[in-house]
Parts: sequence; C-alpha cells; structure tokens
Amino acid sequence: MSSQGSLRKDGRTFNQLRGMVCDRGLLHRADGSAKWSQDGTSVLVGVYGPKNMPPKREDPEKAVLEVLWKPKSGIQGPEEREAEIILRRTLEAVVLAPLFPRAGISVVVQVIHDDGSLLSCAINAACAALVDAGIPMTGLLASVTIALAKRDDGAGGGAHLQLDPTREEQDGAQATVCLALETTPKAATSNGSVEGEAVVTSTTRGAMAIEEYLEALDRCRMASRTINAFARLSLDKAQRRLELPGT
Amino acid sequence: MDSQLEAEAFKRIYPEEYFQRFLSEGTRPDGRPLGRARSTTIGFGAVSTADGSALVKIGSTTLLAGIKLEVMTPTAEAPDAGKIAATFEMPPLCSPDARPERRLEETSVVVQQVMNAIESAGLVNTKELLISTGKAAWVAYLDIYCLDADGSLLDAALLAAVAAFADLTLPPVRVNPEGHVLPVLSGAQGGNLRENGDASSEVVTVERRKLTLGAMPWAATIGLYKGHLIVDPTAEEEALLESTVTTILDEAGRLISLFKPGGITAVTTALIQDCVELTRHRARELKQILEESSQEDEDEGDESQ
Amino acid sequence: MLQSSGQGDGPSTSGSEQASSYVGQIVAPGDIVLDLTQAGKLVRIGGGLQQDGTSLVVTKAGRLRHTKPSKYWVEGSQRRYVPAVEDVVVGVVVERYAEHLVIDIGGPVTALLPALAFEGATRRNKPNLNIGDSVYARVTSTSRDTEPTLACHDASGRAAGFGPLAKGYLFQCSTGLARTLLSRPTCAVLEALGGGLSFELAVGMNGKVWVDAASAAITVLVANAIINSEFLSPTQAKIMVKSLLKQVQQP
Repeated sequence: MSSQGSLRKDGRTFNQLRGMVCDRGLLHRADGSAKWSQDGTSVLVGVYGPKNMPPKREDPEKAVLEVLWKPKSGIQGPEEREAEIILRRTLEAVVLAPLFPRAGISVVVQVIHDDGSLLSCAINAACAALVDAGIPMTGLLASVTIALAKRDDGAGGGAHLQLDPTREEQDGAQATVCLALETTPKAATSNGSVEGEAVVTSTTRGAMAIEEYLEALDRCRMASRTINAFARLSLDKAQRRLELPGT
Repeated sequence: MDSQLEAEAFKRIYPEEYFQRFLSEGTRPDGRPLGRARSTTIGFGAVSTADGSALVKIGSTTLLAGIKLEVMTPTAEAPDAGKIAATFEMPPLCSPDARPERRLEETSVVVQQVMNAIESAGLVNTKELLISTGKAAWVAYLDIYCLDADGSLLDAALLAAVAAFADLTLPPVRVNPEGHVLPVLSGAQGGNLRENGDASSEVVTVERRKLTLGAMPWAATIGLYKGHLIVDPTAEEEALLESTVTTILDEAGRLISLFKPGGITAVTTALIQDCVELTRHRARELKQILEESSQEDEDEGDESQ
Repeated sequence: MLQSSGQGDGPSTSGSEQASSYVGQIVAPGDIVLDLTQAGKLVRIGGGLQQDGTSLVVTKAGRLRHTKPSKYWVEGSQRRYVPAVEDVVVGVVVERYAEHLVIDIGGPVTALLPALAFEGATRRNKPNLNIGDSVYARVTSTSRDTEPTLACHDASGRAAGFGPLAKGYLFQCSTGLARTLLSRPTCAVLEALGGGLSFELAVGMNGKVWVDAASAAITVLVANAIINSEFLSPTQAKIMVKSLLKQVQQP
C-alpha cells in the first residue's frame, strides 16, 4: 500500500498482519483443540462434543453451543462475559447445530496472552479448534481487528488504518473495529457471488466516520484472505501429519 | 371470533409463516411498516431519590435509568477525573425468560455496549465529575432497570442512560482541607454558595450544576430477516430474526458503534449502508423526542414553583 | 437437504459424469467440490459432505475420497465418533433395562442395544450383561432425533463375531487410527504384532479398541504399540514393535 515508507513501532507496514502460528490437536483430552497466536496475542481453545447435555439445557431441535472464556488471570469480568456471548453467536453462524439435536458442544477459550486484537485471535482459534474436532460447519471464518490511529500522529494520507493492532496501538487509537468475516471457499463452480466476504460479526469502539468504517471493512476483507490462506495451510499440514502411516 | 381464534392458532403453530405473510405485505404483526420504530416517550426525574433519572418507553419496552453520585478518591492515573460505573438489571418481572437464579445473557451485552457508546461518543467528560484535584471526585453509578423487555433493549437502555445524564444535577458540596467532602446544608443554599473565603480559606464550595454533555449517541436496532430490514423489532420478532444490527450514531453523523453479534445473514457493504441510513432517520427522531421531553419537563418545573 | 454419515452408504442424488477435481485433496468446510447439475447420474455421499441446492459442500475438514462410479466422502481424523449405519463399534454398558441396554459408544448420545439383538436370543435365554461390560456391536440405525440402535448379530441373524467382550482391556484412540486398524490389507503394526504374539483384538469405528491376551504384560504391550503407531510410517511401526517385543522376551 501507500504506507510502505512509514513503518509502525514493530516495523510492520500499516497494512500488515502480525506473524500467525496455529497448532492443532494440542490437548489430548479434548475432542478438538487449537492454539492460535498473532505474535504477542495467543489463545488456546478446546472443543468438547457433540456430547450429552443435562436435560434442562438441551434443545430438541439442535445442538446447544456453549462458550467458556477463561481470562489470562483472575476471574471473569463483564468484558469476558460479553466476549463469551459474542463469540458464541459468531460460531453459531457457521456450526451445523441441527445435525445433533439434544447434544451440546463446549468451546473453552483460554487466553494465554493479550497483546491487542484479542477477540479476533479468539475467533480464529475457535474456528480452527472446531475444524480440528470435526464439528460440521457451513464454512470457515476469519477475524481481523483494525485500529484507526489518531490523525495527529503525523501519519497522513490513508495510512492511519492499522491492521491487526498491538495492545499499545489499540489503546492509543481513536477507534477500533473488530470484524469476523465468512471466507470465500474453494469452489468447483464459478457462479460464486461477486460481493466481498460477508460480515458475520462486527464490534467497534470509539467514534469514526461511516466512510472510515467502510474502508476498514475493505481492508479487513483483504486481510481475511491472507488469514484464510494461512488457516488452510496449517490444516493441510496437520492433516498430512495424521495421514503419515497410510502413505 | 372464529377467525380471530384461527389467526391466533396459526401464529402459534407456524410463527415463521405468520411473520412472513405480514412482511410480504410490507407490514408487521403490530401494524407498523417495516421502517418505523415504536412510539417513544421519555420521562425525566422519575426517581426522586436519584441524582438523575429517566423512564424510557419504546413501545412496551420500558427501562428506568437512575444515577446516584458518591464521592471517591480519584485514582493515581487520573487525579483530575471521576468515573462512571454502570449496571443493567433484568429482574424476573421483565420477561418470561428471566429467572431469579439465571442472568439473561442480554444483561452483559447491553451494559457493555451502553458504556462503550457513552465512552466512544464522549457524552460525559469525566473531568467534570471532579470535586478537588487528587482528593475527591464523583463516581456516577448508572443503574438501568428493565421493567418490560419487549425487544430492542440496547436502544432503550442507551436512550435511558443519555436522558438520565441530561437530568443529572451535581449537588453543591464543601471540601475541607483534609479532602473530606461535606454536603452544603440546605439552609446555607442562598448566598453562601461561592467560596467562603474569610473564615476558613481552605474550604472550597462547589456549586450545584448540570453536566455539559458532549455528543449524544442515538441507537437503532435493525432486524434482518430474509432480505427485509425491520427497524426496532419487538421481542416476538427478535425470536424469529436471522440477525440484528445495532447502529449507533451521534448528532454529527459519526459512527459510534456498529454492533452485529453473529447471526446467519450475509451482511454486505450495501446492507450496512442501508442500516446506517435508517439509523440516521431514527437518530433525528430520537433527538427531537428528547428535546421536546426536556422542554416539557422544564415547563412543568416552572409551573410547580 | 441430504446428509448421511456412512461411508458411501448415503442417500443418492442426481450427479455428475466426471469426478470432482478436488478428489485426493485436503478440503475445508464450505468448499464446493462438485456441481450436481453437470450430469444426471447417481452420486452417493458419505461423511463430511452435504448437498446445498445443486452443489456438494464440505462440512468437515479432511481428504476428499472418491470411489467409482460416484461415491464421495471426506476422510478426516476426529476424536469424537459420530455413529453411522453399518459401522462396527465397541461400547460399554452404562444402564440396564428389561428390554434394552444403554451403551456408551463415545458418540454425541448413548446408543440402545435391544436385549434380544443377539444370535438366537429369546425372552428366556438372553446373554447376561452387566453395567461396565464391553460389547462388540454393529450400528443398525441412526436418526437425527432418536438414539442410535445397535445389534450383536449380522443382517442374517448370525453372531458373526459380535457379542459381549469378556475380560480384556479397553482403550480409546482417534477415529482415524481406528480406520487404519480396520483397513485391508492389515496395517503394519497389527501385522508385526501378530507375527510375534497371540492376542484377541476388537476395533470399533468409534475409536474404542479392546485387547485380550494370555498375560497382562502382553495386553499392555499390544495396547501401547497400537497407540504409539498413530503417527508412524509402516517401517517405523515395524521397528517400534520389534523393540517392544525384545523387551518382553528378554526376562
């Protein structure tokens, strides 16, 4: 982008994501698990289920999804409770819950370290863990956070949108936008829609102009393709490791 | 009578079909067009013991917001600012889903989003809550009670919070040299409100005053259902919707929040622009209602005096 | 919407002439692997696939498999078992009633085993299974809304190896490893173990494996060898078994 010249504190360009790491199947007792890191931000997710639910909580039409959010330290506060609900509703959009009536799926999120873009990192981790557990889904999600740096930072032009902000950038920003997007899948047919990736979840903090939000959305769309490509690569690697004895 | 019964039975057995038939005619079960919000009223000063309060009704969704002030020592990081602490309660009487032993999940989301909107819009400058630098400041406990939960809770909760802040009056207080805050006796409320400089020069008196509010945030929840955009859905409609988008704008048209927690609708850029447009319209409406209500409130106040 | 989780035993829909270009590749949920309008033949779909309008969509990650003429399924390795008709499973009795037994097969819900679903069983003469006993059974029905049912006989009513598993040791592995153990020709680790030891083995598609041998030492050795083999190549597995056998034969 145009921001090649002016670098951020950690040396990234404004449009650059942090290095991602994804480990699948780390937990032995869970049905599926994944650890997703975006440099300093790291989240471990375990998925249990589909399993029996206590009769009080079961739904005769579909599987019940529950999300437990464990902060890095201490007990759950109101922020964590909100994150829990947002994450649950986001995952419900892709999980094929009607296939398992009366069953339950637990998603346990353990924050390992928070260096900004935490909710995005958790959504990416949870999505990878659900795939690892083999929970049927309609598609994959990719989540990106973007920060609108204050204009008086001297970052002129279109350079004030910082992709995948660190904690410091996030706290100093005029506003942040966190989006979860449906990714475009591989398709055998070419009649796919020309519209960009659909927005599944959107949360914002701070005030911004509508145009700034829409620009952030476009940047996130582009970044979500990178995340999707990375998630597929890591899936490929994990699958090949599993298949080793057969080949 | 018979057809009435049949319609009721049809609604129970095929709620989706029932809803869709209304939508295909461009109307809703309660007779509103898709783009119209329910009638909204604001009553200021509903709680006499609170320092600021408001009762908001959007249709039958009813919320009561009250602000109670307490004195605290400012934190070391912000010695010149007070703070706001918010709670949101959904007692069992507000909805058939609410139970005393179980918190409804809306509770956590609404309180976080209301606080987020107030902070993002800069409605309250916390520095105004200061009494004496480093020694004393107000903490405003904002409590919002849901009396009837009939959909679009976030819209109503934010409106109630904004109205309660508009109603808030900071009481006059004296600060002695040790930083203790003492109330000004009601007898002294005539001329002695300014600093009583001679007798004890360290004692500072802070006058009764209203807050200067910043940009007011206005929220509109829009339900998405099979390509229809439904403004201000009721609880009955919310149960059927595919997803909801709550857009919050301020007077200047800045985006304060665009909140969409999951849901199965594929939301495109065009759809977001439609939601923003509908919210702009609703924001103008809400601003007018708030201004009219506060005008009436002042008129009544004048009459009673 | 058509969905089945059996391997190629799913319902059929009109399908294509040419195989999907994604066969043999690793696919992820949401991928559209086949356009069903391309031709009018029958397509049989198995686990991890779903029909959405005129396209075949992936719901689980794994490798897309295809057998002629037109069976498709996604092969992944999940820990949690989802029952499918005609799968062989190993389960544990968790509840006992007059008419049926409730069996834990590690799926989303427990399964039912009718008390008379054994070879030659009558009301007076039926096998006596207690809570905690293991059984080797076949899944006879799975439906979205009811518990899966099991039977300890084949379609013609003969025992065919199914039935209670007395004594022995039961352990859990991934469904992917279970599939490898059940595959033909016999996988390397079982081949190597069978060459040096004598033991009984029952492998369920649900990842539960039952082993019994003359001594506890051999049972433990077999179980460990199987668990360890998950991420080993055939040659590595043979070497691993050889070294284990040496340990047991030395003293």
